[in-house]
This record gives sequence, structure tokens and C-alpha cells, in this order.
Amino acid sequence: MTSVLFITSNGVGIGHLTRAMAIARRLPDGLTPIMLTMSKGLPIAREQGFYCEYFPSSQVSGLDNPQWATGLAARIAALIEEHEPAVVAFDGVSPYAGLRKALAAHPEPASIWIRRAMWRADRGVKQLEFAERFDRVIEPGEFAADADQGPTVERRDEALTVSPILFCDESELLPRGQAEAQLGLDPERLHVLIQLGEVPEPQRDFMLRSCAARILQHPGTQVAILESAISEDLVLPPSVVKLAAVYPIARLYRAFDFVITAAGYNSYHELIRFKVPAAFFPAPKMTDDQQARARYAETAGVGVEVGLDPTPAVETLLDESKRARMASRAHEMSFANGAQEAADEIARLASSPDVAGVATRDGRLSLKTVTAEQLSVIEGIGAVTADRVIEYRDRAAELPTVDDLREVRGIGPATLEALRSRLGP
Amino acid sequence: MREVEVQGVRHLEQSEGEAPDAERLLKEVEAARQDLELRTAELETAQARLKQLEHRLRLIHESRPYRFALRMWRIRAKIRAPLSRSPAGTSPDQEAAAAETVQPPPAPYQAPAAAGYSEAIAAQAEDADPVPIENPEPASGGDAEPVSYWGSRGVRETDPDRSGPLRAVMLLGGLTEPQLDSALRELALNGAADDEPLVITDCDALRTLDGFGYLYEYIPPREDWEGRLGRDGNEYDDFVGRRLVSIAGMYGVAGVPPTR
Repeated sequence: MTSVLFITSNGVGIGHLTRAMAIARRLPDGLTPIMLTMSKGLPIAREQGFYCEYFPSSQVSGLDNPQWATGLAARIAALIEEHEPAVVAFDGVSPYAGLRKALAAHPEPASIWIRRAMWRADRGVKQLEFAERFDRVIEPGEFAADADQGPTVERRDEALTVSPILFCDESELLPRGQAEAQLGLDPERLHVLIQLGEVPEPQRDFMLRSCAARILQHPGTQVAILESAISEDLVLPPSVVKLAAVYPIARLYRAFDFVITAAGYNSYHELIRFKVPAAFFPAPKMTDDQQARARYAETAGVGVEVGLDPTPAVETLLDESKRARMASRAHEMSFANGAQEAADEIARLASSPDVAGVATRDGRLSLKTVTAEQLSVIEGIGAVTADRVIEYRDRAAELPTVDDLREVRGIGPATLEALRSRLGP
Repeated sequence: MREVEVQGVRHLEQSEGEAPDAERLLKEVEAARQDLELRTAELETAQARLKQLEHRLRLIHESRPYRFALRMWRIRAKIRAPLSRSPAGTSPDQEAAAAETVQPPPAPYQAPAAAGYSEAIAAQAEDADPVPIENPEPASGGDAEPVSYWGSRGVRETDPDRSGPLRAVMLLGGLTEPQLDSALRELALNGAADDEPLVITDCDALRTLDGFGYLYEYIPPREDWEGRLGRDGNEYDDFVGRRLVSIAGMYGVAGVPPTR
């Protein structure tokens, strides 16, 4: 059994874990994902069919930092020794000392840091230096990348940036009627979903009350509130529908006319990708710049930012023509699902452990050193074409550029495009 | 005895032959009347208080925690976990009889042999030399029936100056979420105030565990090991043994339950 060990940080919600699962569920057959998470979302990962282990975060464990770091290092080392994974992929903001220690002691598996961008501008950069400890940095794409003022922007060259990572593909979404039936919603009414799971409690309750009250004044509306999978039970009035233990909610998005949500990475990209008009509330976070993300959505015309008073945003979304414009704009700005790209990269590393050594820092293979075997796993390149590329390179008087490869038989514009994203000088 | 009249009220004079002291009698009557009023007020207050208490008692009797505690106590009286604390007044014979009734089929990684286990725990509880950490031998066989053991009171041996409260390790294996909830409620009701339990379980109900505020560690269940990783079940026993030792080391627990 060849395995991939995913390690996810805790955070407030389940964002890191969701992203890891999004990638893990797209790994090819023969690669078994193993999860080690600090998130209370572990039961969700189990429900999704993953083998999942838990490690309490420093805060939860009650241990002091050195003890906790030692425990984490021992735990990761034990997992590596137990399962001998081909790849260790960490999704989190800061690679912990315990993780670094374990990886240093076990250099055999290729190591990946899945490093979400969009950090707050005032966030320290010290942990970014730990990128050197990994064989590869994968940056999940950001729809709002143009508004990113954080410190990862300067270091984007060292990362392989994939499209925004989504748990679901659009093909997995249920049609509206089915989604309504599954949630028990009245098909005759306008449906609004409010999901503010990661917003701190007093603010969350205020937002829930204000938004629901305003929406319910509008005739023919029905409000559903999604309870976070890892928080305490929400106590809600009977006038709203409580959705508990629904994961992934994205599968049911078509049941809703609009959504009011925190501007966390996963919900944000899912809603835009699936063309659901949304109001984005920037939850206060240490690292994640949700304010910039929410603002960008409004600037791009795919959503609206929620301020301290949610009424203006709600009013906007109650306007059907404005919702239609948002959906249309989101359609124009559509993007691919980067989960598959990240899974492909992990599979590539798992199948060719030496790839890490010959790759450029941004994760692309070097045309100078690439082998036919490595080329053959790139989409659209079979074994025959890979051999031709190598032959072409080796015969050339000087190292060809990637664009020169269009002269190789079997390489058309689409394949050349795929090669550009995977090959460097 | 003769009749006298004081302020229009007729009285029987009890001390025949003495002159009636009208003033004194008047004061006595007044005092008696005040006393009556006072006692009537006290009675009314007491009746009201009684009514309040009866109401509160009824609410308590009807409350879930009370009914739960009552049920647990009855269950404990019948079936006592081998290592749980004794209710006051239980005779050794009763304890022995109760302990004999509780020998549930152990989950593979938890199977402490009854003999020697209680003694080991008792020794640790009295701050005797702790049971040394060793990799527990996996028990052969076993099934997935729910079972719970109240575990060792380990002591921190690394730094005596920093040794906090005794850490009670509680292994809960094969439990469903409601069963885990019940077990934790029992711990909350009957655990000693100075305990800081460390719960080790293969039930993934982390919300339930969080709700009780105990430290906890989760070990994936056997079916995940076999079904999701395709690994051999015998390796699982070794894995659990290593995890227990690792957990004991991480939290400074001096001993883990011996398994043979």
C-alpha cells in the first residue's frame, strides 16, 4: 500500500481539513490517504471514508509548548514509520516545530506545504522561511489574488499555484428540486442560507438575528441556518430552518437563491465557482484576510461585502435582478478546481520520489533534467510522446525552450499548454 | 376562683384570695397576642418556604440530571465497574460480589486481566512506585462489545515540583456516542474533585468529549484500520499498544494498565 499522509492544522473551523480532503479524494487508485488532524472535524473526515487520526492542538492538550512539540514530533515520526507514506502534505499556516523535527528525522517521504495565500498584511513572515524545509509548496489559488497584500505574494515564485481548491465539483451538486427536498425546504419560496460557523459567538448571533429578521420581512422567503459541524448546538427560533450535520453543504447550494456566509477560503470559492449570489462577512482572523476577500468579491461583481450592519447587503441580495447579475458575472469569471491539480502533483511526487530533486522551486520540472517517465504522467503526454520529447531535447544543439516543443510530433496547443504549467527551463 | 372584669372583659381570677393585678394581666394578654401574631407569621413563612422547597424538589425529581443520576446509582448498585469508587458503607463481600458480576468481554486493546489490575491501581493511588510503562501485550481474540474500564491513577514522575494533580486515565472502547456520553456523565457525577481525567477512546464523538471538558485522545477503531487501510488486525493490537505508551509519555502518566 502506498500512502499519503495529510497533516492538517486546527484553526477555528474545518478549512484546512476540508482542503486536505478535497485533494485526498482525488488521489488516483493505489494511493491511500491517511489524515492526522488537529481539527474537531475529524468525524466528518471519517464520514467521508478517510482513515483519520487526531492530535490535540497545543491549546487543547493543556501541555506547554516544548512538551506539545515533542509529542507532535513523536506522533508524526510514528505515523511515518508505521505507514511509510510516499508523501507528507501539511495544510496549515505555520509548519510546527514538531512537524519540522519529524520531517528532518524522516527525509524519505516527499514533503509538501499546502500554503493558503491571502494572509493579512500585518502578519509576520517568519514561518514563510520554513518553506525551505519542504520539497514543494503548493499554493491553493485565490479568486481575490489581485487584492492579496500579504507576505506570501512576494514568495509566490517558490510555490506551485493551482486553481482554487474545492471539495466538490460542479457535477456533484444536486439539482434544485432534489436539494430542496433533501433539506425539507418549501419549493414555492425564496430560500436563503446563512452560514457563519467560524464567526465568533456574540457577533455571529447578532448577525444571524439581524439577517434572518430582515429577510423574513420579505414575503415568501424561507431562511435556513447552517450549524457548524464542530460548534455547540445553535438555539434557533422556529421561524428558521436549522441545518445540522450537513456536509458538504456545497452539494446543496442549488437549493438557495442566495447565501450569507463568512468569507473563509472554502465557502468563498465554492459559492463563486457555483455561481451562487452571496454576501460575504469578513470573520476576524489572525492570518486569513477575509476583509480583502469579501471586498474583492464586491468589486468583481460576484457578491457583496457585509458590514457591521448587514441590512444593506441583505437588501441588495433580495433584489432579483442584482442576484442575476452576480450569477452572470461569476459565470464569466469561472475557474477550474485546483484540487485535482494538487492531487496530480502529489501523485507525481509519490510515483517518482526523485522528482523533488530535479524540479524547479515552483514545482515545475526542469526540461533540462526531466525523464520520459516523469513526462508521461503529465496529462496528454503518453509514453510515446514523452520519448519523442526527450529525443528532441537530446538532439538539439542547445537546450530548447518549452515553446520549442510544439515541433515535436503529437504535441498540439492543448498539450503545449499543459507542458508550460509543468515544465520550466 | 371568682370572676373579675378588666376593661369590660371578664376573667376568672385564679389566685383566690389575692387582689387581681389588672395591669399585669393586660400586659400578659398583649404579649400573648403579639406572640400569636409572630408565630402565625412564622408559620405562614415556613409554609410558604415549604411550598417553595416542595416545588423545587419536584423540579429536581423531574429533571434529566437527577433521573440520570438516580438511574446510574441504581445501575452501579447492581453492576459496579471493577475499578470505580465504592459507595460508602459497601461491605467487602458486597464489593467482591459486585465485581464478579462485571467481567464484560474486553475490547482487544483494553483487556486488563482482573487479577493484579486493581492492586496496581491501588498501589499507584497511594503514591507507591508506579507501574512501569511497558508496551501492553495485545490480548488475543476479543470482540467489539462496548466495555469501559476506569483506569490508572498515574503520577507525573518527570519533575516532582511540577507534578500537578493525579491524572486518571480512562479507557473507553467500543462505545457508541450515547454510551460515551453516559460514561462521561458517570465520571462527572462520581469522579473525585482532584482528578484530571484523560479519556482515551475509539469513539469519534469529539463534540461530546469537548462538552465535558476533559482531556482526551482518540485512537481509530479497528474497523478503520482494517477496512480503510487494509491492514492486518493483529498489527492493530500492536499499534494500539504503541499509542497508549506514546500517550502516557506525552501526558506524563506514569503507568498504563497492564494487560495480562
